[in-house]
Amino acid sequence: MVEVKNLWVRYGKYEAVKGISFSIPKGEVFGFIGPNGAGKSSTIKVLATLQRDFECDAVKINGISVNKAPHLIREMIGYMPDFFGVYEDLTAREYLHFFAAAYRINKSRRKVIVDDVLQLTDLTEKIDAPVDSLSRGMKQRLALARVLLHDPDLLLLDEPASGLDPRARIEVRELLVALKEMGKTIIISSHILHELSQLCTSIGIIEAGKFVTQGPLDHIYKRLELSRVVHVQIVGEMNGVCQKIENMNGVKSVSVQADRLAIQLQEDQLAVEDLHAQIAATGAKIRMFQAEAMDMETVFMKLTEGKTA
Amino acid sequence: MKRRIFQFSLPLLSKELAEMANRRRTYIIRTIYALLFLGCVGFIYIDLMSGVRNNPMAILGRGREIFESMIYLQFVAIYLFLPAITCGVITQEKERNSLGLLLITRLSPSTIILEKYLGRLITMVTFLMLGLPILAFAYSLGGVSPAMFINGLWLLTITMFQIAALGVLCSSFFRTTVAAFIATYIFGLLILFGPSIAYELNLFFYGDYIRLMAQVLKTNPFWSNYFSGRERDLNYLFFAPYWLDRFGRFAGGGIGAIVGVFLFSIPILLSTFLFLIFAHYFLVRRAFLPAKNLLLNIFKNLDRLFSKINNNRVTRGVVLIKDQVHLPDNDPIAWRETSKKSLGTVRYLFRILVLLEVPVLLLCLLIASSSPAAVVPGAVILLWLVWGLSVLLLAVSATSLISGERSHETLDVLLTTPISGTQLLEQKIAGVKRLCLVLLIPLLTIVFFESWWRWEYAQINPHNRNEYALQWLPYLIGSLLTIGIYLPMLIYLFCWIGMKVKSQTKAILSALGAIIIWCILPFILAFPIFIMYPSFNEDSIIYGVFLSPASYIVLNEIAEFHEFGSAWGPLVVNTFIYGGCYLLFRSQCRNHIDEKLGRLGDGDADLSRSPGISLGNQPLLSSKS
Repeated sequence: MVEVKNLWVRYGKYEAVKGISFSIPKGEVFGFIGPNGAGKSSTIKVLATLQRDFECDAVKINGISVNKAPHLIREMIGYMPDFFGVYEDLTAREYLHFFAAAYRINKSRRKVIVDDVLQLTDLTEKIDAPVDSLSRGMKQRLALARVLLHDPDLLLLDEPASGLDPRARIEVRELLVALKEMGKTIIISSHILHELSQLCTSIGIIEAGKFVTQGPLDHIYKRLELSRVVHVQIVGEMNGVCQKIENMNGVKSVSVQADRLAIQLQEDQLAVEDLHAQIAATGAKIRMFQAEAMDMETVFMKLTEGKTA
Repeated sequence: MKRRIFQFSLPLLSKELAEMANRRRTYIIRTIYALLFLGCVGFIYIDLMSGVRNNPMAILGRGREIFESMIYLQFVAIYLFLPAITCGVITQEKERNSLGLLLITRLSPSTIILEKYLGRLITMVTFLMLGLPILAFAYSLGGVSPAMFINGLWLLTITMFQIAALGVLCSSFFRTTVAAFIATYIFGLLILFGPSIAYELNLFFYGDYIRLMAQVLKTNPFWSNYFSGRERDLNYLFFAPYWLDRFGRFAGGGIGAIVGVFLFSIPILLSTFLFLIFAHYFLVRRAFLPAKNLLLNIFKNLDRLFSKINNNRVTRGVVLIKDQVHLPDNDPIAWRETSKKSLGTVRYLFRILVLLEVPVLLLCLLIASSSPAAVVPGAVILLWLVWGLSVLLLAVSATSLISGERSHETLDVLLTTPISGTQLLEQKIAGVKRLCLVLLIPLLTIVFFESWWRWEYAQINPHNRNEYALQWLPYLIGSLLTIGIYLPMLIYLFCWIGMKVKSQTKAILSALGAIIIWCILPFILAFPIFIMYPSFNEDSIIYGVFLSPASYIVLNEIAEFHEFGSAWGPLVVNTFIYGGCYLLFRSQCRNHIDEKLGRLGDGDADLSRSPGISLGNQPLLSSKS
């Protein structure tokens, strides 16, 4: 569906994207994660045909190169920038009909399509409301409705939840889950990692214009879990037990902290529950046993160093 | 207990000056200004020297001419540039949403106004300081009296204070820099020349009051020393260059001229003070104005008023033609431009037409009943005014087409639709084309009126001193061609500027600046050529004046074609030049729109996008899992 090979984006001397490559199969939700200025928006803009100056071996959507037939690419994509991009002087109906006409949807089908997308985005009641009277969350849903008008194969969503309050954020997330279930291919960039973890089938973490890692979420988790940290509190003297734990197969290292031991575990050799059993077998009284959670924020913090391009 | 130490600091002024110093364009503009200014003065010097080649010592004592030229040039610079420099002083803070932050600091509104005011004055002073060496040089040549020297500097200084204060007032009152920019120039013109127009027309018995006041001053023993007795003097109370000229020839001697200038500069100082007081008054009251389309709001208020009037016993609110809200058909951008914009909607454009056409028709009738000449000055001025208004309206609407989308962050969304660049442009200008049609009607009314007048005059008085004034056909064809070419040319030029310049405000200001420079630059450039080469055959470059688009309009109106020997030659040359410009701007806009807007166009397929960097340079971690 999407193929990007060796993409470079430069703004003068500044290199925003430094030779990234990735491919996304059809129906996948790809989360683009990275700090500000990492190159996410630039990459999405290249795919949206909004970036003239870039170099690449290939940037293709459905096998069509973006720079060879941008007009065809525009028919295939639905792009939502990291700002609303709505006309405040129109009503929701006029706004959607405006873009339906821009996407050359047959006039006889426009009303049905507009009604459908408004229903999907739960904005039917606001159909004749002026856009400038809508809340931020509603505006964002309206923008999503606009993106869906021509039933694109690929959705490019740049920070769709940025600047929204918690309720609006949840509404947008639910909408994205619905789109995922409809089988849309989605590239979504966001800072809100928790939300991406619930949506994405694969992620790419980008920092300073380069991919730090990419692939299916479970693979990345598994790869990072190879060195999962387990925190253990032992009743009584810890040094003796520490030596025994260090000698266990699958334990990479043990560090003694103020009130606990931090054990780095190679999970492919020793499972967390087996570690617990083995420590208990040494006769140590375990007061606390806590494996560090491996969520996307942990992954992000582990993999990135806070660098900018 | 700690003693509070009084600390004097000007943080806002420091920030303004630091910003100014950090901008590269400050130095570029200053250099260009210095070159232009010193160049002009240099050419005046060369001109003076050319008359005294046999006796170089004869230049001594002729410093006055250089001094006067320099001072008048500085006045021109102040009147032209200072409004542009000052009009954004508060509006920029409003546009960046930073005025609120300033207001919650310990800086009082008066401090904010004064520091901002000082910041812009210093900017202008740095420009004026460039003239100091010339001043010294002119003074050393002799012929400049100390009174003239003091008066010149004093009047320049107070003019700077006055115009800067007006700019700050407009900036404090209006929400956007564009509105403040236009208002500063309009109010400036009204303040400087409004009294003399009101005097000539005796508006609200203003002329009678002035005459009465002149009588009082003449009979007052103190004022009679300085007041020449001419009633006209009192119409230029706010116009400093007039007083420089007036007291430059003052018979009462040095001290008398200085006192006279000082006395007559009191109104300028008072106006400056008033402008600053009002700027202070509006600063907080108009700090957080909601974004609204002023013109659209006026029209909507008019709609409400008309509906109210229509709801009476006789008409009972009956509406003959109801507004129908249509949804876009196949050209959505054109639909929005012509149904949602104040300068594109038929109903609102009709009002603009009535607003323009009715006074134009009335004035034409008035002129027709009173003018004894073939060239009617009233109609000429009216046409120029309508041209000026047309340029202003086109600049605002055409530059906003793309820059407005950019400012409202809707451009990217629009660019990802399958609408091609050319279609986008043509649909975008649909509303401006309608506006053009509206502007066309008053322009054509005046042109047809003048043509008819010349034809009629030729029938009655076939032997006029100026034969060209009776040639109605070249006038008519020339005017029609000019209107037919200039209006679309201006649309594409302004559109192109709107594509190039990122912000809407800057785009409008750049468009207005560009057209002003285009109109006057050929004359500025021609001036040194004639002075440097006095033997230059004028006839060979006379057609060069048509490099300014305003030239033909002026010459055609005043029927001054004697240098050309025919009215048809200039017409052909002008049509050729500006027809070419129109085609150039049109092709630039249509063929390069995707490039200017930063999106991939269909013609970009042949662009090489090979990175020239092997895949081996990729970071190790970027490999696909």
